[in-house]
Amino acid sequence: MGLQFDASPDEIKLFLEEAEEHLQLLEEDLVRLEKEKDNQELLQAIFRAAHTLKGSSATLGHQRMAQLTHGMENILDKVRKGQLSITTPIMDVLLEGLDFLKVLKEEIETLEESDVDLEKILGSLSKAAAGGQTASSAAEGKLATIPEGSTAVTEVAAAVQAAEPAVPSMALDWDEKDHVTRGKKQGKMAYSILVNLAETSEMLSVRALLTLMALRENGEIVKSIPSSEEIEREEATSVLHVALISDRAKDQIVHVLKELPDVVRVEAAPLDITREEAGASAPDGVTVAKTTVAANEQANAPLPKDETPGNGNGSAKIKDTKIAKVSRTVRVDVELLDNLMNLVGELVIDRTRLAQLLGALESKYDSNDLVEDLNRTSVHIGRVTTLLQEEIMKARMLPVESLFNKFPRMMRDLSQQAGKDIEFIMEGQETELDRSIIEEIGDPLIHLLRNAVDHAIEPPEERVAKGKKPQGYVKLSARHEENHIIISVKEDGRGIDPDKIRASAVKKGIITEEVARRLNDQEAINLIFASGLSTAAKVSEVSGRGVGMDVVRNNLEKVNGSVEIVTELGKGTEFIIKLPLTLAIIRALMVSVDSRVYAIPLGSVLETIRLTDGQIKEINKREAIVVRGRVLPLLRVKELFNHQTRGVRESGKTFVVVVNLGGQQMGLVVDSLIGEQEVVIKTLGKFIGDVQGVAGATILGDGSVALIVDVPSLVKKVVKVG
Amino acid sequence: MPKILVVDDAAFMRLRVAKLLTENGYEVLEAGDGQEGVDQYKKNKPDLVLMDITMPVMDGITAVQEIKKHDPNAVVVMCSALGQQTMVMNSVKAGAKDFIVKPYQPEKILDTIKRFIG
Ligand SMILES: [Mg+2]
Repeated sequence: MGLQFDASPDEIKLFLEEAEEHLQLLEEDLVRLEKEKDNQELLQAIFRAAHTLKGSSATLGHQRMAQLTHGMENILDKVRKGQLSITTPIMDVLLEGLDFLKVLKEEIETLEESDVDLEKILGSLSKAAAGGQTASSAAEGKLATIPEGSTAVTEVAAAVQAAEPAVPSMALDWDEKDHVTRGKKQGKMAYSILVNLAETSEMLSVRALLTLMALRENGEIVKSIPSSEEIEREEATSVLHVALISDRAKDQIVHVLKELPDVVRVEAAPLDITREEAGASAPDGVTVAKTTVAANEQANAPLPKDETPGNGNGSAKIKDTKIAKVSRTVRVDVELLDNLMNLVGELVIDRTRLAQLLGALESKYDSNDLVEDLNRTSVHIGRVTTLLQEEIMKARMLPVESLFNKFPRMMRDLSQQAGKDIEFIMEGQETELDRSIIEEIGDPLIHLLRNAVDHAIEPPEERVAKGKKPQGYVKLSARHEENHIIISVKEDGRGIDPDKIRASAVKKGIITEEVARRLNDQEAINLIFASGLSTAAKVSEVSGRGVGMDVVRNNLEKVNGSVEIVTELGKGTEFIIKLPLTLAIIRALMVSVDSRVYAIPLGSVLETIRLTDGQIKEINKREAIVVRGRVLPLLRVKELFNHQTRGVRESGKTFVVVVNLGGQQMGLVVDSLIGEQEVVIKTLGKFIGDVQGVAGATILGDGSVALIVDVPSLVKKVVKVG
Repeated sequence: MPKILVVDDAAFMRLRVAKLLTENGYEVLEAGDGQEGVDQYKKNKPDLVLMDITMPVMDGITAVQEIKKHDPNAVVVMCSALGQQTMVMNSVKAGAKDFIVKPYQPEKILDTIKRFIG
């Protein structure tokens, strides 16, 4: 079924953006609230998110979303007021509500109405809300639906309607009569005024107060029924009866009143105090009405008077201003940031080009003033370009929090399902990372966390039997390290047994028995990233590791990241993910082979070695060198990219660049090392297609193109053959 | 052109109201929380303020008090949800001139504004 909303595309976009923020906040903070039950600030933020979602969705015209958020807000409001406390069932129903909210939000994106049945969750929500106050469950049910526009009829108004008095008459006590008499002596008129407010009026008491205030601007109020105190206590009715002294004409006052919102009928008559002598009691009708209302209001929810935040509450106000930091932010489309980054990339290239041209000029015109000037300008442009690049990179950065947010909830659910007792710890959420990288690492992290819960952490009994604490932990942390971001997933579970991995890899036909024997433990453990091994369910049970580890590595490599495993049998495992800060610009080691320039991403370079004669050996039918007692397989870049070899180079001038990927190392043989440089990655795109061993290209300062070496694919190639 | 300050922490709500108001010949200023609203009021002296209640940093009731302290003649209209009667009541006592209940009906906003500033 198609959905339609009364909103422009801009409005819907903004709604979705904000809704997403609120949903994320709920996702993270609800779970936090379960642990930090007394954190009032947290609770207020959660309440605000639900409340704002309600208001916005109702305005958008998404009634079901408004109903659902209303139900959630209702519970949160009660928690806020201390009428309900956070228990597991309450948290469950709130989280369930959140899940439904996500579906409803999706409806707005797809404009397709989902088939979720809200009846049940709305029922659970109002039942949970009533938990604190069983007496008022009927009233709660009423509140759980949002009345649409002006058709809203409050119970209160309806109850009072029947009791409307027919004639404006007013009983005054002695003091009040004296007040009237004094007014009349001053030449003023006394009126008895009956005002009927619309029964559909929203917030009847406030409306009544405003009406009373309007009357005050037109004279002196001698008496009102209900009194202004009663109105302020929210005990107003749709009938307001006022004794007023004024120097204005009756029609004038009636006219003013009729202009007021929600005033449906005004009747005014001169007030004759002599006729009112006997009755010190108010007209029956009004009294009855008042009683009815009072009863209803009490049943609803007797609110503590001081619940209003900040109202006349000095200390609360001070607290508020302490955190009152006005954020000056604008929303920018990611695409715009990408474009900016590309443009800066061009500038970075030109900067290098400019420096080269200057070098040429300087050598030609030695100490010419113009050249000097140009030099200074060029240096300045260079500096500004660097700053610009840094600033734009910053704008692209997001705290990993935006990704981590959803994990506490996920871990809570997974642990419950698996019947394990797991403390989930997060650290370094404020660490920033390029948003496109954040997008890519979500799935790998989910895989790792899921595996930690499903396979790594033992059930409580098993842990106790092993002499461990019954509660295990999984710790997800992020930190900045030089030019990289390190994300670690660490747990104190079973650990990975290299022998079991060897055995299953052989069984699966991934490696031969002989190769398996040759692998050291780390190499064996790294096999869990091999495709075909980890996808087998059986293996995951044996190895304590689960599904799709090859996907984990592949996704990370896509963003120039790598993953390492540190594990100790019986003690636990840590996955250490190393990520670049950004994707668009990388630092690379520039090398040349047959006077062609290649860029090797610095992130994977371990060291460079100058080769001496005869150092290259043939080991297992593959060229290799021995470095500090370890065999390092070699790959000649020249052969890799099919250079037409022109004569044999002197081996004394050959270099090996040692690269590392997830603990696997190999050497790339090149002619010479040029140096480190920042390169802007350009994808090769459709011109060349997918070239083996090439991750992209970059344009050099002299305008020529250098290929960027794809280290992961090369390492895999060599390791597979090995 | 009469100036109206829209204070709401939901940018979506601000956009909706701002659009309606500009289409009807008002100049619109925006603020994302109560504190920003007070600052904007002091700086730009709008003819009328539409004030949300539940906001971070400073809520709408406190903002009304602050604005009234600065300018006793300020016209502030509260924008609230249905269940917030007590808060609206307190806002009125603090000097708010009227209130509108969300979800807004466009005519209601315009009518309310017209009553105060024509
Ligand atoms: Mg709000």
